[in-house]
Amino acid sequence: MIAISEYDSLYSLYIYALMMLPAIILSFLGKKLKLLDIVISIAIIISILGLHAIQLYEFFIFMIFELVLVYTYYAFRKRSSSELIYFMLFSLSMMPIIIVRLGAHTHYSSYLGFVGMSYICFKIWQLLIDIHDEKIHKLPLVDVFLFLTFAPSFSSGPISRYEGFCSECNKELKGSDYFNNYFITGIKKLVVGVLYKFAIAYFINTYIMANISTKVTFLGSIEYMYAYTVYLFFDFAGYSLIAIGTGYLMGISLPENFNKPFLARNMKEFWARWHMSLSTWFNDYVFSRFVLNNMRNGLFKNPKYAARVSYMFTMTTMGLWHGFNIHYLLYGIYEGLTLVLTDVYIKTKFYRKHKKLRYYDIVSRIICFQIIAFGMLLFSGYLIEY
Amino acid sequence: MERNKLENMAKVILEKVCGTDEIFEDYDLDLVEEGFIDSFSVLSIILEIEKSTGIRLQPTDINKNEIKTINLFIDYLDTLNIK
Repeated sequence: MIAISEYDSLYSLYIYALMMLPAIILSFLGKKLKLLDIVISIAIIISILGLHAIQLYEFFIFMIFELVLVYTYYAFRKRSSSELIYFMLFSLSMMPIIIVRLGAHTHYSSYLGFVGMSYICFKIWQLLIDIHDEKIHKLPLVDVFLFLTFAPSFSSGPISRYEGFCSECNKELKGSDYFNNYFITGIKKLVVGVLYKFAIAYFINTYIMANISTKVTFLGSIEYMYAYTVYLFFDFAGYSLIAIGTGYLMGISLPENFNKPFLARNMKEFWARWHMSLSTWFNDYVFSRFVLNNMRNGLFKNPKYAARVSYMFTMTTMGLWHGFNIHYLLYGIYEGLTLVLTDVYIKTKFYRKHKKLRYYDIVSRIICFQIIAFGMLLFSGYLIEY
Repeated sequence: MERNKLENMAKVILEKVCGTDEIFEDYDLDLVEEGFIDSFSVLSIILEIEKSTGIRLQPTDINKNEIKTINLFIDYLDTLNIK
C-alpha cells in the first residue's frame, strides 16, 4: 500500500497547521515569503522523517545529489544538445530510487529511502525533461527548492508542475484575495478531506476490512475487493484534499487529484479521473513520448499499435514505480491490458451505436467499476502471500 | 507564412488526423467535445507538423484545448513562425 504518513492523524495535521501559522498570518497581511515557506517546509519534513533519523540525512544527501544533476544539466544544455549526456544524467538521477526499490528486498530495507522520495523523483525528472526540451528558461534555486520540498504535497503529492508551481509561488496576493480565493477554499477542502480520510476511510478500515480474513478465499477476496476499493478512494482522495487544502492555506494552489473516479464509463476515462496528477504526468512524460519516438523512428507504422504497446509499457512502469513487487507488476500489466482493451472497444461499431443510448451510461459505469475494483484488489497485494 | 497557407496546412493535417472532411463546415466547432480530437490525436498532429515543417514539437508543447477548433489550430500554427 502507498505509504501515506504525512497526515496520518488529526494530531499531526494540527501540529502542521501550527507550524504553518506564520505563513498564514503573513498571507492575511498580503505578504508572501518564499524563504519562510522553505523554512516551514524543512521543519515539517524534519518532523515527518525525524531529527536524528538516518532518513533525514538521506533526504539531504539525495537533494544535494539531484540538485547538482539538475543544475549541471541546465548549464550544459545551453551549450550543447547532446542526447548522450542527457541520457547519462537522467540515468544517474534514477539511481537513488532504483537502489531504494531494490534495497527494499534486502536486510537494509528499513534504513533505505524516505517518505516522499518517489514523489520528489517525478518533479526532478520533469525538470530534466523540460530543460532538455528547452521549456525552462529560468531556474532560481529558491523556487526549485520550494517546488521540490513544498511541505503540503511532500509525502504523497499531488505532483505539481514546475511552471504552474512557480507562477503560484511568485504571485502577489492581496490579503482579501488570499482570504476569499485561498483561505476559504483551503478550509473547505480540508474539511472534506478530513471527513473522507478520518471518518469514512477510517470506518471502512476498522469495521469492515479488519474483519475480513487474511486467508485468501474466493468470497473473502470479493469482500476485500469492494471494501478496499472504496477505502482506498476515501483514504487517498481525502489525503489529497488535505494536502491541497493546506497548500491553499499557504497561498499556493496545487493540482487536483481526483474527479469522481467511480463514475467513469471506461478505463481511459477512469485514468482521467483517478490520481490525476500522476496519470497526467505519465501521459505527458512517458506515454506520449514513447508513442511519438516509436512513430518517428518507424518502429510502428500504425499509430494504433504504437498506442497499445505504449499503454502496456506506461502502465507496467507505473505499477513498478510503487515498488518492485509481484503484485505491483501484475497490477501494472492488468491496467495496461484494460487500457488496450478499452482502446479496441471504443473503436468498435457496437460502442458507437450504443454510446448515446439511455441506459448505456449506467450499464457501462457498473461494468467499469468491476474492472476498477479488480485492479485495486491486485494493487492491494491481498491475493499474493509472500 | 500567410494565413491562407496556414489554413491549407491546418486542413490537410486535420483531415488526415480526424479522418473526415465534415469538420470543415464550421471553423469554430469544438473538435474535442465532438470527439474528433483526443490526447492521442495531438501526437499525430505533432508528427504531421513535423513532416510538413520540420519543426520538432514535444507532447507538452501542445494542449488539446489550445487547438480544439480549426480557427484555434490555425492560430497555433501561426505562433510557430513557419518560414
